[in-house]
Amino acid sequence: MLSKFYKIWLVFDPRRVFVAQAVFLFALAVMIHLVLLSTDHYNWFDIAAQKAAGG
Amino acid sequence: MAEDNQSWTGLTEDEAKELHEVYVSGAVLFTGVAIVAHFLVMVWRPWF
Repeated sequence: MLSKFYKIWLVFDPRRVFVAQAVFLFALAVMIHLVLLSTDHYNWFDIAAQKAAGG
Repeated sequence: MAEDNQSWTGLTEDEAKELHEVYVSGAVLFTGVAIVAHFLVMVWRPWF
């Protein structure tokens, strides 16, 4: 089933796909990092600050 | 003027196959890095 997936490049222009995917993945990564920062458990800035203060 | 070949992007079958191999290897590399990153985070601070 997957063996014919290369044909995608006969339909979608690779240059546009590469640029679109790069932009999308970067935006997604930024969003996820910000989401994590918005939590207590994963705010690595606060964790570091607490550690520095307590250390 | 009916499109004689199936390609809408001008790539030939062989070019598409060659490109796809490189693309997939990049995707595998990306996934590998993501798995390592998630493992490190799990070791640092488990999320469940």
